[in-house]
Amino acid sequence: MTWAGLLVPAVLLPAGYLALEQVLHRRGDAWPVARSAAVLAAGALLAVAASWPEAGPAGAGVAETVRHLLATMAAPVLLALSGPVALVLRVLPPRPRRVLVRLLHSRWARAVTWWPVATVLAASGAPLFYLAPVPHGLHGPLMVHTALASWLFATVVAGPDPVRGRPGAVTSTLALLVVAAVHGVSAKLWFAAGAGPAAELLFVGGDVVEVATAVAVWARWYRRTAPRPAAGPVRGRTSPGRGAAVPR
Amino acid sequence: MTGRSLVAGLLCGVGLAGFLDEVVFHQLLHWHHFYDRSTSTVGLVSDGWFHAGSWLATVAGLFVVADLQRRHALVGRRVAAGVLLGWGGFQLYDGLVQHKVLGLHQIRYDVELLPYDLVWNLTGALGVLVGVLLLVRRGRARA
Repeated sequence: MTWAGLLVPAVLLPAGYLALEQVLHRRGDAWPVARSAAVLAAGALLAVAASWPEAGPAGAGVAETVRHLLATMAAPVLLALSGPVALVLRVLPPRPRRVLVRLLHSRWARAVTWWPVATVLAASGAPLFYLAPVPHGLHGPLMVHTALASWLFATVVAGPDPVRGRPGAVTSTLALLVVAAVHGVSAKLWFAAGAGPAAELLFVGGDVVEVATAVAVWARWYRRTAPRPAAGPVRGRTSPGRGAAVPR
Repeated sequence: MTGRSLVAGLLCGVGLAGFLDEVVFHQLLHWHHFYDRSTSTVGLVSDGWFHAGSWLATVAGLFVVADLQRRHALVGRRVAAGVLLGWGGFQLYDGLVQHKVLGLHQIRYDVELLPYDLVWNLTGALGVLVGVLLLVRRGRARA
């Protein structure tokens, strides 16, 4: 598979996203700027992955690993944090929106967004890629599968997109632990099989994405358990020393 | 919210132990290696879970501390006790189970191990002890 193909989603995802966002702005609706920044960053990482220079034979595994980390782990997580489904739902006219909602509520969609399923799908990527004897021709489809699984998983545990029965922060963290541990052990076993620096890079890169996803999960928890709606860290604090959360 | 303060401390303590292991022993001293040929698969899997878990514990612990702080419900002594218990407990688990039982890796290579093992496990035990003392004194002060 040619890596240059990644330039297509690198351009189309942010372009489509920003076009939809313009529809919102034209009718006077607001949209969080952080989400637009996330989709732009996802596009940028895909572009970097597409144009990462070929290395010599010694560093070939390293270049390949950088692309995998960027395209199938980091970029999908950023895409999830940009909430593309929520944006589409906001922009679509009522009739097609109903179709999309019905699709999202379908048995199939609910099965893959059920967190244990999303966790297994996300955890399966690294061992399949690095430890299973997958024929070369299947690497392309496998990469697409891994990228989609990463996006789905990040959406379920952290993303702003609507998910029925989204797990709480603790369950999400435990699911993330499974994905991260499988990833780390796969990287070490790959190293044991002789992959060298590429495996170390895979290990560290996995940590970075894991920590970023965990921060997203807990930042969401932090926002949603705020003691008072719309109360900043300084404003709205009238009774210091108060313990439990005020029920809304 | 004293229970939550303790949990937040425990999470931060486990995270701290993982962080110290990674930064001091892997990156600064180079006593630990990314992969040790003698490592059993069980040891590798155990290490993988704890490595991933220590990062996640750090993130979760810091967010719970921030949440308690904004509610003015942070009990400093409980957090400190939790950090010491988490760090000491992790150190003991690493020193006794991972190093000795699972044979995952040693603290240092090509040296007489006993003094290293003693220092490692005794500092861990000391952390647990001080953590327990902090908890007990807290209990007495309230009674």
